[in-house]
Amino acid sequence: MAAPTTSFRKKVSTKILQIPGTRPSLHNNQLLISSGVPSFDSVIGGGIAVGTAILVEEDTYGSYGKLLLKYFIAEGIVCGHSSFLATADTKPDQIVKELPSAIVDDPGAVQDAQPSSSEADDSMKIAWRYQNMSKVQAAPVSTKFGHYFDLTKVMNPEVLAKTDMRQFYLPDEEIPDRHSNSIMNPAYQKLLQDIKSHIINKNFSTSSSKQPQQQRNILRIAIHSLGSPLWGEGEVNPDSYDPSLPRFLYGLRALLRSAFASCLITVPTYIFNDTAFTRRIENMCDTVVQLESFVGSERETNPVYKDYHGLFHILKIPRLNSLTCHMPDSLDLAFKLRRKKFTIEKLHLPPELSDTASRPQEDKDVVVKPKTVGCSTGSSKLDF
Amino acid sequence: MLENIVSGREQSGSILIKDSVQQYGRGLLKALIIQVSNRVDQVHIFSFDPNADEKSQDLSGHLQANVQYHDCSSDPLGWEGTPDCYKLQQDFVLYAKESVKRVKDKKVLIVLDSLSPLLLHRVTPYTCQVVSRLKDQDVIGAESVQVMALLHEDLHDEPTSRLVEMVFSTVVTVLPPDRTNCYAVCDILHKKQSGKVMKSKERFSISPNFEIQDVEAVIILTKRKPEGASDTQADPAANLTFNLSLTDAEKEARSQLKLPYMHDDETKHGILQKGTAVHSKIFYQPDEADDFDEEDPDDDLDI
Amino acid sequence: MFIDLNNILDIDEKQPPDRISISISSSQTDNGFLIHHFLSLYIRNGYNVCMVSFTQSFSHYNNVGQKLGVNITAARDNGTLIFIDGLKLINECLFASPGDSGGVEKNPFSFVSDPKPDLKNLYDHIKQTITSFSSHSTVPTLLLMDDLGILTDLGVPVLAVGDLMMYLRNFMTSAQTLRSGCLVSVVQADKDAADEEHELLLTRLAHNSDMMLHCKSLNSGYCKDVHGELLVTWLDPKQNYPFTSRAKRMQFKIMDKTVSFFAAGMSSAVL
Repeated sequence: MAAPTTSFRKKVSTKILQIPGTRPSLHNNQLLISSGVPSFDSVIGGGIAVGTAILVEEDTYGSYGKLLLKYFIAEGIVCGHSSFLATADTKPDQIVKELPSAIVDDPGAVQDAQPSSSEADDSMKIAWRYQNMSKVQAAPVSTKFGHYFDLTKVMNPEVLAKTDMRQFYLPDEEIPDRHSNSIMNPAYQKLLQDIKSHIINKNFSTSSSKQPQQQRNILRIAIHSLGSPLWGEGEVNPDSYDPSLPRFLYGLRALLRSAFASCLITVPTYIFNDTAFTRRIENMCDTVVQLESFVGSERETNPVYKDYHGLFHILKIPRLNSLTCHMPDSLDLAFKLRRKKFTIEKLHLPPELSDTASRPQEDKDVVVKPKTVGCSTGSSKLDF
Repeated sequence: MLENIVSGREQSGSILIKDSVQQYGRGLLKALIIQVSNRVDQVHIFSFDPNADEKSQDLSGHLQANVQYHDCSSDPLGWEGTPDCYKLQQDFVLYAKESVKRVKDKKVLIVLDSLSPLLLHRVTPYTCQVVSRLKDQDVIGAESVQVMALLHEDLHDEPTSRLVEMVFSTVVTVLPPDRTNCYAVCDILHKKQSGKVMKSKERFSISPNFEIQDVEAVIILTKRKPEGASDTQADPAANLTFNLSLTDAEKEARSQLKLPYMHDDETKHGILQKGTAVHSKIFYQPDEADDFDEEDPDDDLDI
Repeated sequence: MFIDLNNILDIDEKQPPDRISISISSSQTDNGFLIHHFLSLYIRNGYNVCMVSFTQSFSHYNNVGQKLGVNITAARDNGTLIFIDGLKLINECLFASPGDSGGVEKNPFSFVSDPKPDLKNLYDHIKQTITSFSSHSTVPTLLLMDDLGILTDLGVPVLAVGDLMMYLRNFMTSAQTLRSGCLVSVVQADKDAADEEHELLLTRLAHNSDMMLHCKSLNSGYCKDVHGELLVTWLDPKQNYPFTSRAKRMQFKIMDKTVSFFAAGMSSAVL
């Protein structure tokens, strides 16, 4: 009987794996890890599945993408997971120094049976019946999965010193010449090889039997701004198709499927001219979300969006070992960055007030376009 | 025009049928083959598509002339090592010459079903040259040659299609039918021998015997009436119990009628002659009650 | 296997499609349920399956199969299912450092790193696999390819992939080799992505197919109760009389162990 060689485990037949910082999905017994943002975990079905890659399509200036990356790594450190951080721009050390510190008791009161809003001014005078309606359908959370972080404080250096992290900073790596490698961009190839070696050498591979199962740990791989020119994307003749990035992601998928690892990649897809190329990249990843910040767009001053900093699009949720996948209640999600934390919520448009405060009819951007879900992307025309 | 081409009244040395997955053209191609076969001695079908090969087709029951199939579909790239099948890298004209034998003094129809494999694997001009050479009866050594071909236009880009169309005298593009009981609609472009180019759009059906029937021109309404305007102005004078209109005799009589205010021509002429400044005269007869004062009443004004 | 789907497709599970080539395509929605349908249909009846997957690992199909009541692992163990792991094999080629060509040459996917690839080796490999089924000539055999668009994404020219499928189709549907062979090929081709290569690949497959199953998202957008629309087209490329092309359109909702189908507007959530 061939031993299962992937990280997908069926709860019934084998012992339940007790790896700190993981929990089985409510849908399909898939092992999940937290992204570091509990509201993010909630909208994608409970968390990031072990053995999968999640693609975060960056907002135009990249700041929120980087923030999600930091949360991902910070969560891993707090749970005791190992990490592999790869960057081509900001030095990994710099990112690590900026990681937020975990909060022991969270300010968001998620553990209450009736989640009330965290800010006092959100209490409703007229629509008080809706006051207790949760902003996001949060699954019951224990403090061992999905922590809250305080963005005003950085992580204690003592905690950082104890964590197991491999750093990959492209300018410091020896990358062979492009011409010697016809398969893919040598920067991607080097990164892939390093990830592979790390997985094998540090026993994250599902087929390695060196350690008894109870001592398994999770490897979190975080790659910052992959596909940017700093990684060498776009170096080849723009008229011909460069399959390097799809190949890299394909190779990554193969690695992850047989490892106790998950990968979060941020990609600045807004620089790609070709929607077909962006879609191919998306198809190679399991979960795909997109951050659309309001900075610099007319929405920034639009009263409709005054409570939020951007829209959060779920473009793909994977079907793993199952016909179905988590189906979000709503695709109209937005994010906001408060002083201390970042949350994702259902977008609710403020009530239309008097004539003077009415939303402009000719503003096309006010139209909320729900996107289809189900392991695919797509937009449709549902206008108000 | 379709009927003329099918019957031969409109001569065409080379016919190209363009189709797509939405509407197959093979039915029309077969119908054409069968009709034209009445006028030729031999039919040679080069099957590049397994759906068009001898096993899949049932033409022999319908054809009058001698038909031969040539296998160009079972191993076009040579992966199976089948010896007799045409390989796409070979010289097709040579292959055709070798396949089509004993045609001296014969009328021949050559069918290429379809051109797409050649176009996909070789450069486009090659296919154009192949067709052009096959049209020449001396290449094969027959008395006359007609060429028919099928092209899947959804597999090729527009420039490619246009280049291929150049070497055919008739191009029929098959489109999905616009009505029930109709096989398809086709756009026909035909270059007559005189040089004149004719275009038409027709719908047609195909009978179980592969006869082309019920050919009708498809009329495209180019001008749309603006919304709200009715097609014909309703005639308000119609359907009344009394007569509001006049017959010509009545109109004539009406024009003769002299009305009170109308002047006759002399009076009109006189008035016009005097110029436009015709002053009318006022004759005033003051009576005892009138106070005829010489003073100018406006002298009081101080302006 | 979804009984409703068999009825919609006019498939009799005791007599599965004979010498038919089916293309499955999807636009902005998931096509997995169609793949699992055919897979479980053949396995539960003990027929032969050669599964070539480029997207998922074996255990994914196995786990879904268990939910649908078929034991794919057992089928693999007793030789009625052969799984060609494209994900693993292609990566062996992509991972090979330049100069290390020893093991790669034998790999049927070595064309991936070739600038001008020729998929003949893969064709031979698949052919050999199918002829190795001990009773292949009498037992219905399914060749399932999931998902050809991946090859295009990895840089393999559409022409080369199309040629492979042309040969596989001839092989699976020709009267000489197999008594009852069925080829099912899958391509994900999102309309809104405007990916010309995927569209061309799909068109090329369509010209080689007898039946097309196309699932797409709803025009009205995301809906929790209606996940998409399935369009089934029976093509008639031979065009012998009587002309038999026809089409059916249904909507569907995917659930954990089954998929329900209904006519547009007849979803139980709506009624």
